[in-house]
Amino acid sequence: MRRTKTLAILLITAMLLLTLSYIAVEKVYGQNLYWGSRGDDVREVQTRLQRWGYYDGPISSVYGPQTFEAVKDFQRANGLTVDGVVGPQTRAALGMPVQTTAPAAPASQGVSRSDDINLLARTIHAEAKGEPYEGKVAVGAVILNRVRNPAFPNTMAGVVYQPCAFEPVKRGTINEAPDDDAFRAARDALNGWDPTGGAIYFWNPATATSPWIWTRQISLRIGRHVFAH
Amino acid sequence: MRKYFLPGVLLVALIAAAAWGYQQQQQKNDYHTYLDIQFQRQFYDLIGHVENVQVDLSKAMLSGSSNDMAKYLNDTVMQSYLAQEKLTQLPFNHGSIRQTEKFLSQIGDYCTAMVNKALEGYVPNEEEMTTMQELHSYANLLAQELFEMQQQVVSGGVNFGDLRSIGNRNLQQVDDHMKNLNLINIEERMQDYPELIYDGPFSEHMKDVKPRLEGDEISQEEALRIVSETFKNQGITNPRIIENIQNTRLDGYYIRAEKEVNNGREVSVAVSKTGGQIIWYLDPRQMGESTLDTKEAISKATEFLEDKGYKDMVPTYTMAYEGEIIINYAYQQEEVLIYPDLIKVKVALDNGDIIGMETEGYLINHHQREIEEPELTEEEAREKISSRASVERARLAIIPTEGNHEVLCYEFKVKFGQDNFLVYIDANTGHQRRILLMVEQEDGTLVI
Repeated sequence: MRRTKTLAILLITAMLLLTLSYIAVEKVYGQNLYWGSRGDDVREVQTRLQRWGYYDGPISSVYGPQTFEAVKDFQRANGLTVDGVVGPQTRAALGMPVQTTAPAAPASQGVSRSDDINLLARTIHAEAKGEPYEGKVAVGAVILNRVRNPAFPNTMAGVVYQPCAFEPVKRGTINEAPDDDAFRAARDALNGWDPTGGAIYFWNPATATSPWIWTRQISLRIGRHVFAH
Repeated sequence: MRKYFLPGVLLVALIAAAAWGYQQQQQKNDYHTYLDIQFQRQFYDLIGHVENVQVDLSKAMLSGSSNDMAKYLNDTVMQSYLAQEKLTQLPFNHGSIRQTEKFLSQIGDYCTAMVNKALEGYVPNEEEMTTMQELHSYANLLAQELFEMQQQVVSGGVNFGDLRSIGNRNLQQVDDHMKNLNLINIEERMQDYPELIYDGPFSEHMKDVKPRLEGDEISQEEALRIVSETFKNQGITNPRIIENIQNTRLDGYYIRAEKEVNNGREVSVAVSKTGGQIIWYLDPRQMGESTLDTKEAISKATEFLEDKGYKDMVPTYTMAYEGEIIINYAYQQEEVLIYPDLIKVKVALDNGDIIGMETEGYLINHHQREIEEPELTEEEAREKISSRASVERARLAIIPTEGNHEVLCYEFKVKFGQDNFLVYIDANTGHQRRILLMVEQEDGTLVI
C-alpha cells in the first residue's frame, strides 16, 4: 500500500514537471510601445511617468533611451516584467486605456518606418555587441547597402531574414532587445552614415567558415569585423 | 519495501524521459515538415515566376504597338521581382546564387526603364531589342535549370536538405553563365517608402559614379593634422590611424581620437586620401539635457560648415531625436538648390557640439554646373500638377535621376488630403520626374 502511494506521488510529480516543461513561453506583441515608437501614446506615457517622477527627459513623443529607462524603473517598482516595453499590463498599470479606440474614419496618412529601425537595431545588437560604435554603424550600413544592391532582397526584412545570411537570425538572438548604442547606430546608418564606403559583406575572421567570403575585395577592418565588397 | 524505492524512481524517470523524447521527436517532425512545405512552395512559385518572365518578355518583344509592349513589360517587371523575392527566401548559399539574384532584379529594372520609354511612345532601337533578347535567353536558361532541379528533387523524394544541396550545385552553374551578363547601369528599384523620413530628399547618391573630388594625395601625417585642425573646437586629442580604407569609391584613412569629456568613448573619423576631406565623423557620447532649439542648432552647424570652407550650403531638412539633431545641407548655385551635393551635420542639443558629419554626397558630386535657363516658366510647370492638390511653394532645384543624370526641375511643395508632397516637374520638358511623400512628424521638418 505504502509503495503504491509513493509510486503514485512520484508519477504525479514527474508528470507535473513534464507538463511544465511543455508550456512554451510566448510573447505577445499587440499595440505595444517600445524603443523607437512615436506618437500621442508615447507622449501620454512620458507625461504620466514624469508626473510620477520616473522620467525627467523631454516630452518628445519619441520613445528613446530615457523613456526606456523610465519605463523599466516603473515596471520594476510595480512588480511587472522589466522589459522596457509598454504592453497591456504596463499600460493598465499606467492607468492608460488598454484597448485603443479605432479612428472614426480611415485617415489617409503616410506610415513611418519605425519598425524598420527596430529590426535594424536588433540586428546590429545581435551582430556587433561589444564592437566600437562606428563598427555598429558599419553593420547597419551593410544591411542597408544590401537592400539597395540588386544581388540581394529589396526590403530590410528580406535582407535580415534571408536564409544563410546572418548567424544571429539562425540562433534566434536577433530577438533580444537592442541597447542604446545599437539603436543610435541604426539611426545613424539610416541617416546615411556609412563607415564602410558601400560594403555589402562583413565577417569575423575568427569565426567565419566560408572560404568564398575571402574572395571579396576588402575595404577595411573595424574592431573584430572585416568589411568587403 | 525500501529496496524497491530506487528502482521505482528510476523506472518512472525512464518512462517520463521516453514520453518526453517521443513528444520532442513528434514536434521536430512537425516543424521539419512545415518548413519543408514552405520551401517547396517557394521553389514551385519561383519556377512559375521565371517561366512567366520568359513568356511575358517574348510577348513584349513581339508586340506591335508601344502600348501593348508597355503592358507585357509591366508583367515582366512584376514576375521578375516576385521571382527574386522567392529565390532569396530559399536556403541556398549566397555565393552560388548572387548572380542569379542580380539577374532577376536587373531584368525588372531594365524592363521598368523600357516601360517608361514605351509609355512616352518610344519604339526600342536595335540595341535595346538585342538586350531584351539576351535577357530572354538567360531567363530561358534559368527556367530550364530550375525544371531539372525540380525533376531531381522529386525523383529523389522531396526533402529540403536535398533541395538545398542540389540547388547550391546546379544554380552555381547558372550563376557562372550569368557572370557574363552586364546590363547598362540602372538604379535598382527602391522600396516605395516615404523617402523623407530619415534621410532627407535625394540622399540616395548615384552609385558607381566616379568622384569629382580633386586634390593631391595626402599622407597619414597630413590626415591626422587635418582631423586635429577640423575638430579642434570639439576638444579631440591624440588622433591615430587605425586602417586604410580601400576598394571604395572614396578611399581614405580610418582614424580614431580621444575626447576628454566622453568618459573614454572615442570618436572616429575618415579622411579622404584625395584632397584630405572629412568623409564622415561620429562621436557616440551620451547626451545631456537639451538646451538648444532647432534654430540655434542650425546656426551652429552652418557656422561650422562655413568655418571649414563649405560655402553656399543651405539647410533643407532637419530631424531631431532625443538630445541630438541631424541637419541636411544642399549646395546652392545661382538660386538653384542642388540636392546631389549633400552634407549632413549632427549637433548635440545640450551644448551645441558638432557630433557627426557625413559628406560623401558632396565629395562625389560637387562641381560648378552650367545651369541653363529653363524652357518652362513656373506657371507653365504648375499647370502640370493635379488640380486636386494645392501648391504651397515653388523653387528651382537640380535632382538626381536614374542612370546617373541630373535634371533641372521645379520643386513644388503640395498639399493633397492630409499629406504633404514634394512634386518635381522637369523644367524643360514638363514631365513629372518624381513625387516624394513627406511624413510629417513633430521632430522632422523641412526648413526651406
